[in-house]
Amino acid sequence: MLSLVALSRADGWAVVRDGKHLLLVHPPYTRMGQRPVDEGFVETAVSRLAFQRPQQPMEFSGWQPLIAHLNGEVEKARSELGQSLDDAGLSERLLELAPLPVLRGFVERARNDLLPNPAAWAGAERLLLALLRLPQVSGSPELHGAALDLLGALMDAKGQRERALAQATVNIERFPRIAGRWGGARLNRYLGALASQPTLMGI
Amino acid sequence: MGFGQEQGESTEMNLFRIASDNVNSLEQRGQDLRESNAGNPDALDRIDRFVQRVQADGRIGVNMRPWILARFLSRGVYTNIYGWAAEMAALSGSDAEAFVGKKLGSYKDKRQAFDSAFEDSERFGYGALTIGGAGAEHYGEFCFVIRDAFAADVKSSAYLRGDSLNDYMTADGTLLDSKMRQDLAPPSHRHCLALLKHAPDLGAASDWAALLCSSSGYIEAIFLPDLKPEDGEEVRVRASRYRELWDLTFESFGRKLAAGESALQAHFVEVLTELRDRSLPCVEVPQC
Repeated sequence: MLSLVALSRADGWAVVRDGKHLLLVHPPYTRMGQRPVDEGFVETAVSRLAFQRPQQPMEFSGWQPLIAHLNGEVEKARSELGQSLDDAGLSERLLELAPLPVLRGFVERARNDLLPNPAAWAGAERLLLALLRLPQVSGSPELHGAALDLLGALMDAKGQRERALAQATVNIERFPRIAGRWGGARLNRYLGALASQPTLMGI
Repeated sequence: MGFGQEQGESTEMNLFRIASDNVNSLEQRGQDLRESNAGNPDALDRIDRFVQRVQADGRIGVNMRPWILARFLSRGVYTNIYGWAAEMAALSGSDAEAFVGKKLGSYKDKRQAFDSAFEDSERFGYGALTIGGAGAEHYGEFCFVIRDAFAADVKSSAYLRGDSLNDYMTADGTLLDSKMRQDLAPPSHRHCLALLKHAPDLGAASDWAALLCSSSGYIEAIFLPDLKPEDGEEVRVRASRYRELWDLTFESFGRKLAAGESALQAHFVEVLTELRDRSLPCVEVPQC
């Protein structure tokens, strides 16, 4: 059982009691970010750091509901101040403020983490297009080239995937009875496996 | 003037004068400490180098969360709880004292007992003595480092061996007056206070910054002048936290952030924009 001891609604920092321990937590609420504190800190947090004690004791069965509550409080506090949390241009504005080593890291991470994952391609494309518009990227031929190369690789991967999906539709049209019995996705997996490893296997 | 009076009398004490009057005692205790290490050249060398480091690199650092730092930089002035209450009262047309009472809750008596003991305490600003590193991060991951000239006046700044509220007030709100008098130093003698506190623990020089100021402990700095962004020298942040803030930016291109993360991102933008506009460097510091 976790209990909420004090909270700053403006930014979601909170002191939480976990058994005998008091922990300071803050977004993005990672385990690594938790910090043990003492009762003296709670007093300082309330009297100097804009934390508030909840009016009623608040207990939670685990971290997930507690973090959901903290996020809800932040959302409510921001809304009371008329500040939206859906600022679509915020990420792009941060890129404008990022130093070059950070941007280099983003391109590297996009290549390693996002390119192999089709579900992440839309985000990767948005990131790369935003990067390529930055003056600090235009001013760095090496980084500009790397971002452009990655965007090209992403476009190639998207093209290949679209062609494969189109081919899958053709397969279903060519073998309607098999697709009807086993499902189109299963048929396409089988034909794909057959194409890459032409061994007779049961469907 | 309340100097020399016990807590409970009507006249308030002047914290900064008590600190200035402690100079001879600090010097004597520092000298005694050196003499007690006279037979140990290594220890003596460490002591001298530590003192020189505090004299050369000592600054007041004020740790702030991104939200607080963004607000401070954009408004141009740092407010303590009394300033905040005055603002709230002006906005709502009600009583500032009621806001303070509501905010402090059960801590009101203790805090007010401390504040009522000293002149001008409602204007006190608080920080910590730092010689490097990210400071007392549980107060906030950004350490706003103040130019040394800001708090050099003995009449308006002082250093205390520990935390004023936690180490010098009992639970029932009694000020530990004599303990506090022993542990106060003016700016000119903060190195003596640092030495007296840390001499037994001085290890490798690379550990001194964290020894002097971290979430585990610090020498508290109390100052009177209104703190403004232009009083800053730099803002320090631990490299791993700085990376985490940028990681969140990267992730925001691929997933919808939770409310707390979005707020953090919004505050981070504000902080970086203000720092850029004010030409105030944001310095990554290694893990302590």
